[in-house]
Amino acid sequence: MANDLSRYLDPKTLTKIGNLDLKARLIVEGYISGQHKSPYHGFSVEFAEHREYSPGDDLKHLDWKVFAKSDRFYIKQYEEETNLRSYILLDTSESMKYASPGSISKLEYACYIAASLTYLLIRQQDSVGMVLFDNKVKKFVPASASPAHLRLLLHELKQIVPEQRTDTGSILHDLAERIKRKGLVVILSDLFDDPDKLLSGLQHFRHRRHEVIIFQILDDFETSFPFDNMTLFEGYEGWQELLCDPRSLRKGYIEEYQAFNEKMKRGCRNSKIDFVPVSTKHPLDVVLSAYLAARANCRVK
Amino acid sequence: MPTFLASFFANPALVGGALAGSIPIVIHLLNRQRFKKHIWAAMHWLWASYKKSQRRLQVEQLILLLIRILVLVLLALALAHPILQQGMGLLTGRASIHRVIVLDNSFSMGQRVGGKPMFDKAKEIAAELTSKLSLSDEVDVILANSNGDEVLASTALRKQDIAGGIKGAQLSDGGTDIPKSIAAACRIFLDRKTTNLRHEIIVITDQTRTGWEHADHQPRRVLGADEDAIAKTFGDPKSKPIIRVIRLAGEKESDNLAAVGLEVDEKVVPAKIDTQFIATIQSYSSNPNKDVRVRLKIDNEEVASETIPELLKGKTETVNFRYSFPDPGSHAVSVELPEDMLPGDNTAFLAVDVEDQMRVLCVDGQQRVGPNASELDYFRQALSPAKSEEVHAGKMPLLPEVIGDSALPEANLDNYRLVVLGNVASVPPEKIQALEQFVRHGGALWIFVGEKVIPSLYNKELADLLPMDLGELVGTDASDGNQGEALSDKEIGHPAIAKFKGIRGLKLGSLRATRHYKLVPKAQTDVTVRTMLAYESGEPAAVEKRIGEGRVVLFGTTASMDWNTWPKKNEYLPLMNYIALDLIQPAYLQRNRMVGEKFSMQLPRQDLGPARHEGVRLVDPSGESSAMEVLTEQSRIESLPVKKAGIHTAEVPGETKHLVHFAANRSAEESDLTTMDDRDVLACVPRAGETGTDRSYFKNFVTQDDFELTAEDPNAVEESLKKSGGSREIWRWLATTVLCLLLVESVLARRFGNFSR
Repeated sequence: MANDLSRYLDPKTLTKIGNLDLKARLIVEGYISGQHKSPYHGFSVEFAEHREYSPGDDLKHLDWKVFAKSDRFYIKQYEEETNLRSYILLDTSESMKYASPGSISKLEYACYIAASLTYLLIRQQDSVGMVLFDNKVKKFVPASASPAHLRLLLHELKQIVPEQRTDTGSILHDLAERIKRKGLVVILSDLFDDPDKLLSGLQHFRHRRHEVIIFQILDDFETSFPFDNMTLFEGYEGWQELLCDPRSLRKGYIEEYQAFNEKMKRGCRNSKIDFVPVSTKHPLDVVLSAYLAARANCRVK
Repeated sequence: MPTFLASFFANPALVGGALAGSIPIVIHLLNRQRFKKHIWAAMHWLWASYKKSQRRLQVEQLILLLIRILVLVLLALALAHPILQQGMGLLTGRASIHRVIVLDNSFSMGQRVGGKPMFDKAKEIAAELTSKLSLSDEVDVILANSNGDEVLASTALRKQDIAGGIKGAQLSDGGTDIPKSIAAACRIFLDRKTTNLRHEIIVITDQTRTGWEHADHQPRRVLGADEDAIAKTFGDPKSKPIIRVIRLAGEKESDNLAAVGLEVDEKVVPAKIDTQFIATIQSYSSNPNKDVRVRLKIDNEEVASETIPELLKGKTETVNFRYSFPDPGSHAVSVELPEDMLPGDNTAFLAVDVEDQMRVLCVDGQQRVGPNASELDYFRQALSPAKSEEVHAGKMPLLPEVIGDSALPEANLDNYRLVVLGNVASVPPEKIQALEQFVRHGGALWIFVGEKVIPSLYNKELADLLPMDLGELVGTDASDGNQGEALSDKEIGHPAIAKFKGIRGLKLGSLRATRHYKLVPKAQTDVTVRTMLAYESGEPAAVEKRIGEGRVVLFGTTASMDWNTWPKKNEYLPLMNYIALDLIQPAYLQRNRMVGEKFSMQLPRQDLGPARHEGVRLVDPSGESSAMEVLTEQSRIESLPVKKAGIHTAEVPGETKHLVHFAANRSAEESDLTTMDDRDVLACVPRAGETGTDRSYFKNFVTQDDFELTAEDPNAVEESLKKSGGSREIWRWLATTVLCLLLVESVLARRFGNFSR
């Protein structure tokens, strides 16, 4: 069963499933089935009861005193808390529509991540909100932990129509002002914007003491530029078309991409922001692992 | 096709191929129309890359485009075989050439200059001219002499082989004909079809007169096939060669004596009787030669020597030797002069057959009883004026044997050198044919008439043999008081009569004939017929005709005293002897020839079979042998044209195999080392457009524009080549450039376009 569920981490497999709700559940369950440690236990300090140890439980929650008395392993369970607020910021600009032959679009990939994170957060009783933006905030859904909220968010994801240019830098400043209570901010975008403006917006979130994790979602073609023949490139978001021999531009293109990423990585590292480049070909567990690491980091603090 | 293109390109039609240079531009434009469309998100990175690389890309694309255009244009030009003309800049150098070196190896080239044969110098120049040629050049070397031009070396051989061939070249014993050799060079151009190369003929010669002129100072003109070759080669402006004659300088003063002749006084050489040899020595020296020692050698052994006290410039002297051969057989005779600047002409050679006696068949048509009663009694005694025992003891060179006309059919003519018919009424038809064959193969026939001869019958049956027809019988018997008609003393020029006249106190006019047949020329003129003796009236008394190798003499009167009183006169005996000895053709004469001619030797019929079966090989003075051809029809053996002067030998079949000598002498003309002035040579080469080519070597096919005379300096020749360099084909350079450009293009294309893959 565990193996059956883990195949849903492959983005291509997920495209065959129509229901986003089901997709989110399959992603999360598939991811969880491969972990030794249960992600569902809270980290509250209020003790609730004991339960018998089962493989996969964290040993640090073992009650050694009970073991000394009874020679049995019991795990201490605590009252769960719902004080973590998360916001998922999803870029819905036109450039997110791009999909190379045989791949899913960056937007689809971003939606899977958004849906699966939402599902996971709500299962953990955390509250989650969502912002859809391009060059302006198209939708702002406040955070909530109710099960009905999950359906609302999934519905919003289904309604996305990417059509506008992006202006992520400005939007980040705007949202940093609007999201007042500190929490975890997850940004899903291709980050096709000026890196200085982007980093400025991200620092604004950090200034508001938010934990920030950025998933830079790119297609494989956008990182390798594997074209050979004379090609007319027609751009999204109003970019002028360009007829060129791609072979002669490949080196310059890759240098541009690497320079951007290097700058983003350095900026994020300085601001203690997690910057995770993701390809639409990558399995989704990479994203979930990164998220959980960031969440744990957030709890420790 | 514009005519100016023809002067720059060998294949002007292919110049149009340069339009192929537009192909890369067309491909470039077409490619701009043929592209894929791709909707792309990361345009900001693409545009940033494009803006940064735009200038570099344009330059790179432009470089590649230019290289591709250049490749196609140069390829088209290379195929069109462009020819760079003189004065078109630094690229012009010496053109690729096909050079034919005509190396004069006539024996006058053996003259010593500074102690070294001039031919060695000629070979050095030829070797240097060959070594200076590049890989794209072609060269042929031919040896030019009157024995036939010989291709010594060609580019089919490696360079060192050509050099080896030149080094090993030998002087010939022949003369030379420079215009003919130039025609031979033209035939090489025509055969090899090297029309893409410049053609050049270099003649290296001593420029003696004989190379350019005949003995009568008429220029040596090319004729027949040679003329055709010259016309064809010089008629084509593209392959028209230039002729450069390198004249080698000889010594300023000549010191050359030549043995120009060696002969025997009498053609018949008897054994044990003194024979007189006459050597002719000619001076070609600039100064008189003193105490010239002339040595006679018999079978390579010196037997006598004579000294000429002084031989003046340009004079000829004869030296007489007497020698008695102890035994009959074939012998080699030579005379030798002291060493001088041209050693090749210091020896003259002679091959002789020493014979015991020569048999003469006398057919007497009117044999009578009594002393001197028969027709040929006086005549027989005149040929052998000695007692019968002495004659048969071999003391007389001629041995006459008399038979009656009835015995003629049985006589074997092969045993005799001379057959005499005296008043023979008729000859059987089969014997007439035998006599014809006998004469044709070198025998001699002497016919006297008489009362028994019926002119009409003779004229009909012996028509092919008689030099003239027998006409009317004139005169009466001496008893009628008729003094008869005397022979004329006027000079007629016959050698036998000339010898007779050399005897003091004897006059032909003493000989009178009372009766004789008029000798009437035949209707058809025969150039071999000549008058031997004539009457004072001018009417011919005796006529001679040549048939094949032999001769027939017809006397219009009798050999006896029936119609004349000749036998009573002192003149009769020497006259008959001289005529008989003149008529007899000794066999060795055919074995003495000039270089370039063929040796020939008559063989008895019975020896032809063994000769054909075993073969006869002729060994030349250097020891090389060659087969002699057996000509059965003509009962003789014949050699190839002789190339080497000196004594040659052959073993011929007979009763026993015996050695026979042959002698070949050089042309005396070549001994004259007088050179032609450049002006005299050029006088026989017309100027361009000049007409009237009577004294031209090559008619008007070759003009002075195609002809150049230079000194003996190979560097001067090379310089001359460069100056008149004319044109140079550069297609090889273009093709090489194309290959280099293709290499550069592929490297650059990879570097500009694919290196980031």
